[in-house]
Amino acid sequence: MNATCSSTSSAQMRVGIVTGNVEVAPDCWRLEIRCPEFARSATPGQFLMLRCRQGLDPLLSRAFSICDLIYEGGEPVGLVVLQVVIGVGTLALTKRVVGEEIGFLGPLGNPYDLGTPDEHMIMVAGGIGAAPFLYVARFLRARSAEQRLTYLVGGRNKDFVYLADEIAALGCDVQIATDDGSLGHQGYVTQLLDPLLASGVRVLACGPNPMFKSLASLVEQKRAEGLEFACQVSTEESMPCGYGACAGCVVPLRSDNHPDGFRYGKSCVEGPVFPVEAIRWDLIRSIH
Amino acid sequence: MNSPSLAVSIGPLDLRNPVLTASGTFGLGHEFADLVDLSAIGGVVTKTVTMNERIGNPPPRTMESAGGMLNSIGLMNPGWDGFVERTLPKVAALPCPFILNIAGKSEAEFVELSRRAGELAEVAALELNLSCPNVSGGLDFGRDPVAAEQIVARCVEASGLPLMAKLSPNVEDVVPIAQACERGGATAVSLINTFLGTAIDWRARKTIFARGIAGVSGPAIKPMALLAVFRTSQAISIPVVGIGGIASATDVLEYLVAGATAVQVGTACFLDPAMPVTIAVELRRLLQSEGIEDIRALIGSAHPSQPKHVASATPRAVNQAEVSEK
Ligand SMILES: Cc1cc2nc3c(=O)[nH]c(=O)nc-3n(C[C@H](O)[C@H](O)[C@H](O)COP(=O)(O)OP(=O)(O)OC[C@H]3O[C@@H](n4cnc5c(N)ncnc54)[C@H](O)[C@@H]3O)c2cc1C
Ligand SMILES: Cc1cc2nc3c(=O)[nH]c(=O)nc-3n(C[C@H](O)[C@H](O)[C@H](O)COP(=O)(O)O)c2cc1C
Ligand code: FES
Repeated sequence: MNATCSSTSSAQMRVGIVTGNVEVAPDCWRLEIRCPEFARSATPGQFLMLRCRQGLDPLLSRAFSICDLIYEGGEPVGLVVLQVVIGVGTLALTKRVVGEEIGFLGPLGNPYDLGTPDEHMIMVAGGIGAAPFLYVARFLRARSAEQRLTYLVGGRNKDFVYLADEIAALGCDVQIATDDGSLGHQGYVTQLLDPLLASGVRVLACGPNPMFKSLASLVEQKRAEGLEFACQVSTEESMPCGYGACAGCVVPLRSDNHPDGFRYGKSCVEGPVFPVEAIRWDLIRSIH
Repeated sequence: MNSPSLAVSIGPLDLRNPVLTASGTFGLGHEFADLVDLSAIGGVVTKTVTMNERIGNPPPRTMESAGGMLNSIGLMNPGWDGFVERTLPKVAALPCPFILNIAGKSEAEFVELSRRAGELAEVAALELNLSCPNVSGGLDFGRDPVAAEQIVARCVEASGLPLMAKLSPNVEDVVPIAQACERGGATAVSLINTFLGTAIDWRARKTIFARGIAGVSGPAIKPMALLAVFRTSQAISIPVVGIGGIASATDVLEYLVAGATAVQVGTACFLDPAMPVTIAVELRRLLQSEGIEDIRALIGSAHPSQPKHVASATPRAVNQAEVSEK
């Protein structure tokens, strides 16, 4: 596996073949798509816009993280999407059958900045925000057998904790938090992060906005105490196009050049990965 | 049969085919030039450019609906200076006409933007956004025939460019507004902008959008947009550019037969930036297979023979048509 490929974003329509689509946890499906050109150019943290069904209903494509790549003879030939059923689009995706063609745009967006192998890498996932981290962890392991990797994953209860075993199998320390304590620590995933934060670590996070908000305040507090470390988040704003055409997917970004100290940035092309301090969390609404 | 001719003209503006991109659905027009073969389409229309930068409305800005979507973007754009600095240098290299869509907060701003645009060799034509539902006052210039005529006349004079007036369907009747634009010297009218709509979060007992309203676009609005084109094109003698829910070559042909000279592809671009190209390519194939040599033969071919007889799709439409003829 090539662990040094440079990142490019391309809103090119591609047609892949569904090679697998199974329910791996309650309402959570693993969709496998064969498309070598896509797989060769994908980098960890990027996403794709999937046509959930053929035709125009539902009209817009849906955004999904690249959860993993599929290899054949050491070459990437396909990708994996891990998706949770929410509404019409994700439900339609569960009906996709093996052998069928499926259209999608990508790979899109900026990947995580994965730093250097001497850093302690801490991946923080809330709910289906887990999806990008299997590919991230696989990529990091291929880059270095020694790097210290930690995966902190949270969910409502034990049924909503994703990819813990898969990522543990790559030689990562895994810690779990659930809201109801049905698995691992009872409480929030950010509580697991607190004792691990130290200068020189690198934090990558993906999850819902409430998680990001508490992460942002924890990071601010630790930095005020003098710790120096990088923290990036991958936002999940609703994305009508995914490639910068509509301006529907914006997040409030700090800006000294704007009257109110912020501007709206398109999360699909300026993100979805941002340094945590770039976002004005006080202006973010906490739904979904 | 020879390869069919797809060329159409909007006044002095010659288009290699009738497929344009719609404002606000293809960025500022230059961003996807490396990705999409723009030499295969008729032209690009920019996101609306305003005098000052606008950061746009707070999220949520969009919501899907059956067969379409709602948006409340709020004319997010870099403003004139940002446009000149970042977009303009890339425009000369575009292999298709570049149509600048502008909106002012006042008539004076519309006129000043038109004057500045007239000085730029890169701009092939202007589209006046007289119809944005997502900024306060955005619709005002497109509601009143007197105001519309005056603003069009002054922008034509100030720019010296071919000018398309983009109108709103959210008026009592779009026909008299289009007629006013014609009197003001517009080269064409673009019909239509989005229909007003809203979305509700019933659990929160709230509207989804901060401004309460948003604009509906996509295939769901095609029948209404098509009617606006059908009626208006019979009541004016300048070209109509049809917009609303276009997602295929057959959609384009329906608009042409209804009376449009060219069309714009909007929301469908969100599915694939190459959508306008795909549609233009399919259009040629379709004409070829149907044995149609010149696409212009189709324009307005559904119009009844007496040009003054305006379509009577609904009793209300008849009333409106009568009113508009007075
Ligand atoms: C960059 C990115 C990566 C994502 N990665 C994954 C992933 O790997 N696995 C996964 O299960 N989900 C992921 N999501 C969320 C996923 O896109 C939504 O769950 C999905 O769009 C819901 O569609 P629906 O039709 O089932 O739901 P509906 O609620 O019916 O959708 C209605 C509209 O809202 C949008 N929408 C609804 N919920 C979300 C949401 N949480 N985020 C963004 N848009 C939303 C939809 O795109 C659609 O336009 C990601 C989102 C983004 C932006
Ligand atoms: C997200 C979005 C942004 C838009 N922004 C603009 C705009 O800035 N100026 C404008 O004149 N029209 C704007 N429109 C309207 C479109 O150009 C078009 O008139 C309308 O969407 C109907 O066409 P469609 O159904 O093909 O999308 C916008 C539409 C959408 C969906
Ligand atoms: S999703 Fe359209 S600009 Fe980001």
